[in-house]
Amino acid sequence: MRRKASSSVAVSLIVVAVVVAISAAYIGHQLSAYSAQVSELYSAVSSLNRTVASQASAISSIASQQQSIQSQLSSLNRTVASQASAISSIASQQQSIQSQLSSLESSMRFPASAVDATGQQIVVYSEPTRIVSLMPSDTAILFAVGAGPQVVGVDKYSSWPPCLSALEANGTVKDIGSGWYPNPEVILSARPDMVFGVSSVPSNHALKQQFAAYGIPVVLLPDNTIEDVLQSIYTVGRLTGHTGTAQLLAENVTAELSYAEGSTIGLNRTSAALIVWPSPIWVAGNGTWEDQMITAAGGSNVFSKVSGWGPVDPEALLAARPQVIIYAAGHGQLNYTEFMSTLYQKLGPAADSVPAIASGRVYAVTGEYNDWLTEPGPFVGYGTILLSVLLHPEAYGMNYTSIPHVVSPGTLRLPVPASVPVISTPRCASAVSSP
Amino acid sequence: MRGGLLHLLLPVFFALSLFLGPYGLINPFSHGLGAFVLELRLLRALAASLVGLALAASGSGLQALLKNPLADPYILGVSSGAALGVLATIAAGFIWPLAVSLSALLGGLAALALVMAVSSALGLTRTSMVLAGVALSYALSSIDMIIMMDLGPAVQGSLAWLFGTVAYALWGELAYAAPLMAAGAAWIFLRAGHLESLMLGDDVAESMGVRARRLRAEVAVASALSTSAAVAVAGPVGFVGLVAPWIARLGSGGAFRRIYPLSLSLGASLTVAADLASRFVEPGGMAPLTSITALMGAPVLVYLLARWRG
Amino acid sequence: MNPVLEADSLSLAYGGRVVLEGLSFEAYPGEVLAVVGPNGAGKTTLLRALSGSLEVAGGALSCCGFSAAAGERLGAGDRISYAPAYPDVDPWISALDLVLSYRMGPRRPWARPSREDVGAALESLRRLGAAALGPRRTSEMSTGELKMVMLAAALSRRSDVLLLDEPLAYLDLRNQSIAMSALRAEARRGALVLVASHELHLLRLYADRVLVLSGGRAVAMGRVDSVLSEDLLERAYGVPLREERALVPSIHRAGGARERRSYCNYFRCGAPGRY
Repeated sequence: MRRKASSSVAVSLIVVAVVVAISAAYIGHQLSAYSAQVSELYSAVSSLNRTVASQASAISSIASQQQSIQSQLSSLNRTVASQASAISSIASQQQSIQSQLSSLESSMRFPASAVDATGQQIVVYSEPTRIVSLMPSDTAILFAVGAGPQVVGVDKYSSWPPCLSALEANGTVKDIGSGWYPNPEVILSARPDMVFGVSSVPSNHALKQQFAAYGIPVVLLPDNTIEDVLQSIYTVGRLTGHTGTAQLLAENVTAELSYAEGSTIGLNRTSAALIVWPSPIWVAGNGTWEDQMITAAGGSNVFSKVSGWGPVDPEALLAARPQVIIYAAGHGQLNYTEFMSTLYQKLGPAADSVPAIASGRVYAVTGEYNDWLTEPGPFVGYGTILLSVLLHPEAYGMNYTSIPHVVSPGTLRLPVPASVPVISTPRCASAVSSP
Repeated sequence: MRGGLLHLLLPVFFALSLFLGPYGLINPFSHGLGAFVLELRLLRALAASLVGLALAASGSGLQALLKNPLADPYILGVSSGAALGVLATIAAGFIWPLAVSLSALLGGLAALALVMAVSSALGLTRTSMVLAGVALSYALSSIDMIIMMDLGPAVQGSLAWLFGTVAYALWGELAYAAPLMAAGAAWIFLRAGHLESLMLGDDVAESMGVRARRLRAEVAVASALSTSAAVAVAGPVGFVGLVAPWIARLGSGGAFRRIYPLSLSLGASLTVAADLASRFVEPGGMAPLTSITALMGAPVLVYLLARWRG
Repeated sequence: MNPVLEADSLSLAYGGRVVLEGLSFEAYPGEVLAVVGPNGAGKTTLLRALSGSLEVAGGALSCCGFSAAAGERLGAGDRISYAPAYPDVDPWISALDLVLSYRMGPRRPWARPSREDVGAALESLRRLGAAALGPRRTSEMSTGELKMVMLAAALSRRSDVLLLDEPLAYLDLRNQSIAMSALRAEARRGALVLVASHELHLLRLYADRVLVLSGGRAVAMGRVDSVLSEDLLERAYGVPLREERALVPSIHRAGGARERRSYCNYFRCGAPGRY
């Protein structure tokens, strides 16, 4: 029995060795063939697709071989529990196969290319490992698609994920100052191999031109509409090697948007004003992602005639008569009470003719919820759900009187069912430990 | 003698500006990223010295021309015209660096054309030039304000430019702006003798063959040319054009031919030094150039004036 | 002797208005020629035309070998030096730099004052007793001091023709005599000195000939003592000069003849020596 067992171990070892040798040779062959194609790949993206297809079939065959090895291993495990040393050697071989697999996989993800908001085709030949982000929304997208460990610098306003402050404290991530006026030299001192900015900021364009001379790509993400946000998620995923997660994230955001839309379908649209700065009053108007979010949440923006973000006279609130006023209060300006008193100061007794003020449906959104409304990042879907709760509490079985005036994660839990996907906070421990 | 020594400030600040920065010290023979940072610093230092030179040139030209020690390059409405050009361009959705700097150039020159037209309708005298410039500046700045209110958050992005900075200078920008700045400064230099005669009074200058009206027009155009080009590169950097000729003047008898070269070199040193300081006074390394030039220039000027009085 | 300056039925206009008409005269090297006349008679206009800063409207003007016909300006370069009545100079230029700038003129932007230039400038300031003003800025001088510096500047070029508009206004008695002596010395050197002034008593002492302008025309020209009669001045200025004494306050009338004379000298009572 024992002899038979050991001989079968020997046989299977040989089989494994042969399989490993064959697959290694095959992989080596594929790799050399691949490296010969690299130069052509760079010039012609179409030829890449063909190579990718053939390599994908190679991977699937390797994967099926791996599966058979695994099944043999498990049968071995069942039959010979005592041959631990042999098994561990097999396991290490399996690990090496896996690492070869993953390296092959990553070599497949790159070169990658994407078009940024300026229309420039950005081609990346290998995985970027030193990324600098200039805007909070860029940082959030990068971490949400799983590129967090590759980030080495963020602007001073970036606050999500929460572990960012720990990363900055231990020196893993550098604070590069304001992304509105970035200092090129400070960014370079983080030794970036890729920089993410947004297309609406002139200085980011200037940086792009400067860094082009040295071949450091500055990717400017579009940041006006929800479509822009989805586009940005795909672009970031492709360029950082996280296509799959990005795809998933974009689908989640879309699902969240349709959840909000679906919950409020058939209800009368609630007229709403979204105030992004209290004094003077600045509102989100036409052509902004906030405007789209209000619409998706079953509301109608009373300031849709304002183009972009703009200041309005307090009297305009009297004329617009919004049913709900949402005030994004997250930047340490006025709190709810102060905001209300300025409204009363400016409008006087006439304030009560505004339905939102008369019925008490003025909400100051703070904390993380504020960022959901004011950043063109991965949380636009959640922001829309939040808006739909504020505009149509009845759709969620609530009464508007039960909604607090100061809306933050601490005072209002979103009534989201399990079917709504959740953006997991990136595991900070692994990010912190990664070099 | 002392004036001669002041010329040394420029090479000193220029060298410091190559060596110091948030990236740290750089071995001048390094390759890779270090070499690129060094190139960026060289570009900044060059841009700053050219901008300072251009502003000082037009400042001293205009001060001699208007016999007004408070005249500065922006008195002709160039600054608000350039700002209007930039804001209009950004409002129209063009925010590429070259578009921004070209619109600054065009805005500045267009404002000057308007000022000159108004001023020559009033006789092209000192008073009419100052009057037309100040009036148009106010008018244009109010349009600037309206556009800024309408631009919303996007205006924050253009503020870096409106406060003045050479951090985003590009070789391409410098390549077209440098000849304009140099041409303006050289033009004023060629008229240095005429300007010096004009300091003796219009009648005396005319008796020496200087045509005061034509000279005013020429120097105004030359100074607007160099100022607009400087604004196109670095935004409206204030105070250099005012203070550099002053410091040069306090060290000498005030004859134009003698103060002009010194005020050019002082303007360049002041701007390079301000750019250097802007990297350190604020953690982000992006303090606005205008505030630094004023913070550095004002005490120097007050000290010199006090010492000269005493 | 050939005239250094000739006007032939010269007409001058200023601001579209004819100021002087049909003016003909000659002036010779080595003389001090005074131009007198009431305010607005065209004295300054004449000097500006001679200096080359105003176009000739009609007739002809020639000076030191240069000439100008109607529509032209006289461009005699540094052969002519001009000092205006009201110096409109840069407030921050020093007296020495002002004189040097004047002496060097507008040519050659890179020019630096030579040793000779500096010597001439200092000498010129010294001659007018203004050497101590050398390093002072013009904004820190009194108008009289500034006028002396401007005169020094005009003299520093040693031109053939000196055109001086009101060189004695704002000056104290001492400076008036210093200035007139310096001008006399220039005439002795061989220059034509043309002085527009209201200081008739000083002109009577220092000028050789006088040109009287009134109502846009020359009403008289000739030697000072023959032309500056009370008759003529009364006609030219339209003032009854012989009754002027009535205007003198009694405290001065009570004084002796000498005091009256000095008072009248000071207040232009008329031709000195008649009282």
